[in-house]
Amino acid sequence: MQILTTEQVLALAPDAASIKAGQGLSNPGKWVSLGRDDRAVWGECQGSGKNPYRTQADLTGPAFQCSCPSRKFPCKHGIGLLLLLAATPARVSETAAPAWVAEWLTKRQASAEKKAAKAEAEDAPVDPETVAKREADRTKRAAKREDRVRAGLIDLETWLGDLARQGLAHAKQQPAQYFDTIAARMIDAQAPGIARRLREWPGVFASGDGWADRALAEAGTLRWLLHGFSRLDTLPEGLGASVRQAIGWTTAEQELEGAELQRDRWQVIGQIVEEEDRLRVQRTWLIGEETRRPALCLSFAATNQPLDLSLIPGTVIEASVAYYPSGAPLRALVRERHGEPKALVNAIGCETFAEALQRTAELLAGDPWLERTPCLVRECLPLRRDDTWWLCDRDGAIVPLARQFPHAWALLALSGGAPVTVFGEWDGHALHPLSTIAGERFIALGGALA
Amino acid sequence: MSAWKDYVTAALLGSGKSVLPALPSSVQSVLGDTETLDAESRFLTHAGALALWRRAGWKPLRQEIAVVAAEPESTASLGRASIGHLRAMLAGRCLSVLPEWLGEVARLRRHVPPELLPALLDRARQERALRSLVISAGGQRALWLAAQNPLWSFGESALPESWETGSRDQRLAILRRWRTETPAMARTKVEEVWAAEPAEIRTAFVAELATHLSEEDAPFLERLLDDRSKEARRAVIDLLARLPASPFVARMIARVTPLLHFTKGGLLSRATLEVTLPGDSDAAATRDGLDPKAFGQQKILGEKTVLLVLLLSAVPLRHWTETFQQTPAALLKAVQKSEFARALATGWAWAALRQQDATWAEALLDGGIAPHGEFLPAKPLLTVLPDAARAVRLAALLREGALTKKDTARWQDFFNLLSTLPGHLPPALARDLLAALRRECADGLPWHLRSLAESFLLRLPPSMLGEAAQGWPIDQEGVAPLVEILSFRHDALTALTQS
Repeated sequence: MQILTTEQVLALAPDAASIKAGQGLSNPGKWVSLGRDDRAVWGECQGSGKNPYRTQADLTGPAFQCSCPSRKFPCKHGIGLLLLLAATPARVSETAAPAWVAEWLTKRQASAEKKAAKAEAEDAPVDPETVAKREADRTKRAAKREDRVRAGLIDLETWLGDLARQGLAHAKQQPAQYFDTIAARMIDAQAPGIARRLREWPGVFASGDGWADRALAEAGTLRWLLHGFSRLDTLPEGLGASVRQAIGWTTAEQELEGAELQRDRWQVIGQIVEEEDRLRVQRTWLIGEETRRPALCLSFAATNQPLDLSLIPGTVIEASVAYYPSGAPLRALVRERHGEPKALVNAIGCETFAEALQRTAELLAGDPWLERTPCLVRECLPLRRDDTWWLCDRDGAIVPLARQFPHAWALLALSGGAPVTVFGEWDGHALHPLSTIAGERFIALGGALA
Repeated sequence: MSAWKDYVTAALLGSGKSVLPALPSSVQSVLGDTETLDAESRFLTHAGALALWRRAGWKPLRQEIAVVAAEPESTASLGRASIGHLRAMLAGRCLSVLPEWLGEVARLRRHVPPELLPALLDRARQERALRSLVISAGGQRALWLAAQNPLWSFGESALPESWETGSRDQRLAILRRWRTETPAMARTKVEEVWAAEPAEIRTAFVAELATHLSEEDAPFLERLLDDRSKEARRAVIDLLARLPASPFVARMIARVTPLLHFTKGGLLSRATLEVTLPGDSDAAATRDGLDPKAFGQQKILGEKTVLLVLLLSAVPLRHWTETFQQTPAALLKAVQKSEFARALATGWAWAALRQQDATWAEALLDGGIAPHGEFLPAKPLLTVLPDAARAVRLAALLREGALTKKDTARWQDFFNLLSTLPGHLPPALARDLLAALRRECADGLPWHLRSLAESFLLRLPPSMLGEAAQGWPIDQEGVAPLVEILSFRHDALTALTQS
């Protein structure tokens, strides 16, 4: 059975409060019963009620189930159970699963099979008439949406024109409502990707030194999105997909059915969860050991709802992934997994920032609307100069670390003045580290450290 | 790149207010003709192209950097379970175990993982007691890291250079080290700066001289009896009274000798010690600290009784046993009926404390005469006893009910006494303590006693923790956290030795 490390368990926690509560429950004394087999771990935890809560985790997922009323996922009992297993596996003896665990596992098995059967049924041939009708409906809906987007983008063009004419200094003095209104208009027009970018404008204006550079770059980037949309018919397929994605069209997982699969040993190199509009967005970065291709797996969840927990930073999985269509394919979906995850001890990265930035340039050439690009550089040294943190590569090239990166001191401590491998997201201005490998230890830096 | 700067300047004011800035030819040639666009769109189109061009061609700065790397560790790293325990404590669980755990990490020649050092150093910044523990459990990396952040500068040991310029704490640390290594030199250093220091610093410096105190210090201390500060003078007298060969003690003996007269008991009479109260203090006596108002007790006890206590406290106890040829117990028995019994016991107890005289301490504890508490901290004589004898008496206190929930002050007193025992509690005392705590917890533990109860449990020897976690009324309010401390401490300490 694959036992997760403490770091990996902490990476699963939905928030800091769950980590704290989970730590409290990682004490064997809190558990009335504990057990595990080759697939699952379970326990009964005495809560405030009369009956203990029944907590179980299927480690092949990992998936969680608990009888407590918490709406967080996994709940503190789930986190506590896995922390306990990570810290003191000897306290959890291997035994046969009790009925309530076996029942759940059977149910999970059945529902997985049902899902597979349903997917198969959808693939099953239907009569040509139904196919034609479905196709017609789909085309009609698509055309309708395109019309709404077109109307919305005409308004955006006017708004951007006003912004350019009146000047950024004028825009900076506007109340937040000025941006909210146009963002709401974009939601109406079914262009949520643009709405999200517009909502970040007040933050850009308030971002201190260089705000005008950033605001102008963003305005220009949006203007190019309008160009892209107006020429959607003539663009190459990949670039067209990037335009549609930046505007806010989503690609359903089923549409990736026919996509080519890329099989590799994928290093799960970094993960971060961000809140966007009451929605939690989890970005998990993979890098193929064979192909060196990066892949970005996204998972979305409403607050307290489960995020995808199957990709654990610091592991390597043998898997086949499908890339979403794009001018610079990055976003991907893990389709099939082969075998158990292994520990990641040595990352294959660029040797210099020049090399990493060259890759960023190549990605931007394919998709100019990319907001972040992956950056994995070996042997770099964290430094602090003039109150700013930097990373220095073996050539003496330095890049700044993002101001909001919370673990700069921990990264410095891990280096001890000797070079370490750092993975992070590059946003065009600064690097936000998500993990480091120091002395063959993988340390996730995307979440809480303690 | 000037073209971009031109665009930003134009954008700030509004694109209509200036002519469209020129593009670099390489961008212009890729872009082609944009004249069909309206003015604003054209401006933004150019700016967007330039922005992408800049972003794709972003070049890092270069800097020559000389970094001194941390020394390699000579100790072993921690196992996975132990790292988990440290994370748990830093997240706030059973944090009270942290100091002991860090001490064990250092003792077992292990070191904590570097990524948790910033959190530990931040904690040590707020909690002075953790500082040396974090540095010793953090290995070479902790020293290296602390040197990079001024907020963590406590990692550096105080340098002798800052003796005159450093902060109060740094100066005291330097003096402490000098006094331990070269006591005479330390005294000379204090002597050199004495006149220029404020009273509070002078008092603190004198207190440091208690380490390696010897007759050689007497001449300097004697001069300090003329110091301006009352607090400093009091600290000086406290030291002089511990130097039996000093002129100061000789003067005190001369003053007190005529006041006490011992009469041996006969067949029909018991032995007695007669007391004559001292006269008013002259200038010389006042200089030696014989001030009836010194402790604010003159109204309650009488001025002359206070003077008697002060005199007795500065006289070697050996003087009495040798002069009267009696044991301490016999002397105490002789004064039992005296109206000055408590004053005598107070002066002697104070002297026993200063002279660390265990025989007198035992006799005073068994003598049944309570000293006046105003002069001395609670139960001070226990601290003079050897550890084993003290443990026995602490156990007796437990049996007398030192821990009852109704009396918080007694819990605190008992805890203070317990803290005078070094290291872990001896098993017998630990068992009595556990029994008393379990009994008090039978119907729940009030919240204000929880942290005290917790600190008792942190003193239990680790070998007892397994059994100690059993048998608690776990459902009662406030009890579960205590049991958690016990089992967490057990797990965390055990894991350190196993992995």
